[in-house]
Formats: sequence, C-alpha cells, structure tokens
Amino acid sequence: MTKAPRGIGLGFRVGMAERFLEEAPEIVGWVEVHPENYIGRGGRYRDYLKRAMERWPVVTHGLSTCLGDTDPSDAEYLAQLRSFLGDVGTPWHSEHLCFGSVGGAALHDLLPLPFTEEAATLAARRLDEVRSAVDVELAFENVSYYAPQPTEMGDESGLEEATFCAEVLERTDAKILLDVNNVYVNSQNFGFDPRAFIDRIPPERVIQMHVAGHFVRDDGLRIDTHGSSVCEDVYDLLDYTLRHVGPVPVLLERDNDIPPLEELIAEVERLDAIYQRATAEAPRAAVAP
Amino acid sequence: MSEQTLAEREATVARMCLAPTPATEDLDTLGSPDRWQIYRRMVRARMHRVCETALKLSRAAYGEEAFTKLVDEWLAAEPPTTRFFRELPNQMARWALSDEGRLVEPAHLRDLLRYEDALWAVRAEDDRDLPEVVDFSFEGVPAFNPSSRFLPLEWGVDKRADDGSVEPLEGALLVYRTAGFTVPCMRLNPLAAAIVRELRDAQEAGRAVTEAVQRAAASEKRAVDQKFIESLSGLLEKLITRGIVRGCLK
Ligand SMILES: [Fe+2]
Repeated sequence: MTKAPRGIGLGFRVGMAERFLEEAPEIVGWVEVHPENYIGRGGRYRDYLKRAMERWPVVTHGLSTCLGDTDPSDAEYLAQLRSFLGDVGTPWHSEHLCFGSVGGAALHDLLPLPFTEEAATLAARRLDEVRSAVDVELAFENVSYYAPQPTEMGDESGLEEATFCAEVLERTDAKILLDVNNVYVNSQNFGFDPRAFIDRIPPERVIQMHVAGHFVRDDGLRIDTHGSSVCEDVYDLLDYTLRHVGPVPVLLERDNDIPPLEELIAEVERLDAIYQRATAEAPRAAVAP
Repeated sequence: MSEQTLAEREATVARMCLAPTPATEDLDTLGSPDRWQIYRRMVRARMHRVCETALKLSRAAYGEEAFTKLVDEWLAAEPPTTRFFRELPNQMARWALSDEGRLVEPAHLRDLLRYEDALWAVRAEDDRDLPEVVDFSFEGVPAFNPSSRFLPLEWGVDKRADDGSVEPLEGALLVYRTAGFTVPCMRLNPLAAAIVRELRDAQEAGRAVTEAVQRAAASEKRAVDQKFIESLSGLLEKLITRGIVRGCLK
C-alpha cells in the first residue's frame, strides 16, 4: 500500500487488532506501527501487520532508537529497520527526542534530555546518522517529561523545551512529529503556555501529529499514559495546532486500558471533525513529503 | 546547570532506575528526587509486568514476593540489553537459570521456567525467509521450523495438578507454534525424545535422517525392528503434519 496517510490515523495495537481488522472502520485513514514489535518476529504479530498493510497506509514510529542516546549507534539494527521500513512502504519514520539506552542497558522508557547545547548537537548528529541509515524522511517526536531539566536554552518564558526542539530542527533537515498531548502535559506540569510552544515550531517542519489521553495524579501532576481518552484541552490545542501547521496527519495513540473499538472510533470521529474544520479554515497547505 | 556531561547524566539516570535502591547521591545530582523516582517506578513496573505475564506459572510456583525479588536482582545484576521488549522475560529467565544455586525450591521450578521461557520465545520466533527445503526423505538432512523448542526436562511441567505439583518426566517436551499461532506442547517418550534430539543434532551437523535414526536407536539400545519403524513413522508424521519439521535441507 503506497497511498499517503491522510486525516486521522490510529495506533495499531495487537490488543485491538482482531476486531479492528475485521471491521476496518472507514473513518480511520491510516495506521501507525512500532517496528520493534515486528522486526525479527513471526507468528500472530506478522499476520496482523500483513492484514493491516492490505487495508491502510502504514507509518512507522520507533521506540528504541532514541536520538539522545550517547551509546554508539546499532548499525545492525538500523539495517534491519531500513529493510522493515522498505517492506512496510512507510512515507516517513519517527523516533523520540529522548534517551533510552545507557551503556548497553535498554531501559524501555523515554527518558528526558537536558535542554543543552551538548544534547542538541548529539540529537542533530544522530538524526542525520539515522536518516542516512534508514533512507526515508525522518522525524523526531517531542516527549513528555516529569523532572525539571537543566537548560542552556536561555528563555524566560518557560519555553526551553520548545526552543530546544526548534534548535534541533535548525541543525538538521529532519521533520518533527509534534505530540500535542505531550506539549499539553508538559505545559501543565511546568507552567508554560502550550500555544506559545506550538508557535515556536516552524509549521513547515511538522510532518505528523500525535494525540493521546493522559493521567492526572492526585497532586495534579500529569503523566502521559496513553491510557484514557483525549481531554478537552488537548482537543482544543489540536485545533489550534492544525490552524498553525495545516492538514498534517494526526494519530490517536492508545496503549493502555484499550476500550471497545466503538469508543476508539468515536474519538477518531471527533478528531476528524476538528481536523476537517480546522484545516478547511487553515491558512497553510501541508508540505507533503 | 548540571556539571555532568550528557553521558554521565544518562548513566546516573540508569543507575537510579536499576539499583536495588536508588543512591541518594544520584538523586541529589539529578535534582527533584520525587520526580525522578517516577521514572524509576515506570521503568521497573514495565519490566516486572512483562516478566510476570510471560512467566506467570513460574511466579506462582516460586511465590510472588520471591519472584519480585528475583526480577529486582536481575535488573541490578544484568539489566536488559535487548531493544525488543518481548525478549525481556527470556533474558530474565536466562539470567535466573545461569546460576544452579538459584530457584532450587520447588524442585521442578527450573524446568517450569525453561518451559515458560520456551513458550514465550516460540510464540514470537521468526520463521520467515527460511532456506528452501525439499520433501522429507531418509537420505536428506532434516530441517526443523525454528518456532519449536526441544526440552529434555526432568519434570512434566506441561501438566500440573490443581495444587501446582508435577510428576517426573520420562522423555522430553517439544513446544511448537501452529499455523493458527497457538503454542501447544507435545510429550515425547524416551525413544521419541532420542529421535527428535538426534534429528535436531543432524540438522546442526549436516547428517542424514537415516544416521540420526540409527544413533537414536543405539542410544536407546533398541533394534531397528518392525515396532521401532512403526513408532518412528508415527512420530515423523506428527512432526511433519504439525509443521515442526519442514522437510529436508536442499
Ligand atoms: Fe506520542
């Protein structure tokens, strides 16, 4: 399937695959998969992927090639990744602006980078490295974080992370997968204006977006769980962002407490309504890769 | 501003996540210890959860508390090196089994862990892009599907009484994946176990099926008579129709 992803996509997860594949809801325009779940794996996962590829454009989103890792790149894995991305026919691939592996230990989490020169330089170098290894358009995703980070991005308005992302974009020709929920979660946890964050991201560099639900602890701290429905503020921020960046494909991520398909589809429908309205009125046409 | 280099900072975070208890010094270096402990909990909870899911029988046999301690010990001693999340339980099991002094009670625990480790691995085993095979013949070198595991165990851990107890096993177990992606277990009597073992070795060593069969007969001190041939063809038929043996190498 070489059709371009358009409109609203859904994170393809084995937990909901059976019914999703069977019903193939029309409203879902494309799906996103994590290569790590399929590379070197046979059995049921592969079967599901094959069926998904027959029905939708598939976009890949990595979990383990973190752009802030200081460990050397894993050339063998990058070769496997390249071949997987080719098989799937993804129009672009994304990884996270974070670290996840240290001294050979894989922590299986998205750990926050300090907003420093050193981190920006490393991430930019890694983006170039990975980009040439996988040979498709590459984007990085902004992550949620919970611990305050040291910064050299000298900004009084609390927008150090936005400046950091913009700085990384400045240093490479990479794109950004803008996770609107992550922007919102961080804005609430660290007290900045999420719209000001969005404004700081060059719209023409946004290739894809993510929305998801998060968890609010008793003390008010928000944790990016992908385990509940999207909250009203995030819908609003998505509307705002779409008006800023134009018709860029939006993906709903749901990884935990996956509800019945009807509920997921209702969320996709709501996202689609926002998407249609905002992009019809948006000033800018998306830059298709 | 942090005095550490990025690599030092990342190493501090990893230590803080993986140590049995986080060092105060590391938490102080990172700042906001409460917030960093969130990461510690998230990292560890995810790893514990996948081990508990994959190895639930072993966990039940060993005891939940002891199992939790085992996973904690693994994280501190030999943290996961795989980027594939599904492989974490297999890495944990390999580490746990690497020391004979671990998991001594109950007596069948180590076999149970080997069995669950095999079930988990076989479920995900990649069986695409395999070398081409020809029809099975006695002159050929056998070709097994990689999505199977031969387990020469002492305990019949595939069949457990309601109280979790198991009987000693004569022979071996063979775990394999079906075309419908289920992972059943075949019990092999001592002769069948010897044949499967020899067939697997034959694939490794490039030996023909005939030779493997002769070696199995010799090791079990059996004559290759009518009865032997009948058992052999019954076994081979099962191995082939279930896709455990793909045929012979080209
Ligand atoms: Fe995301």
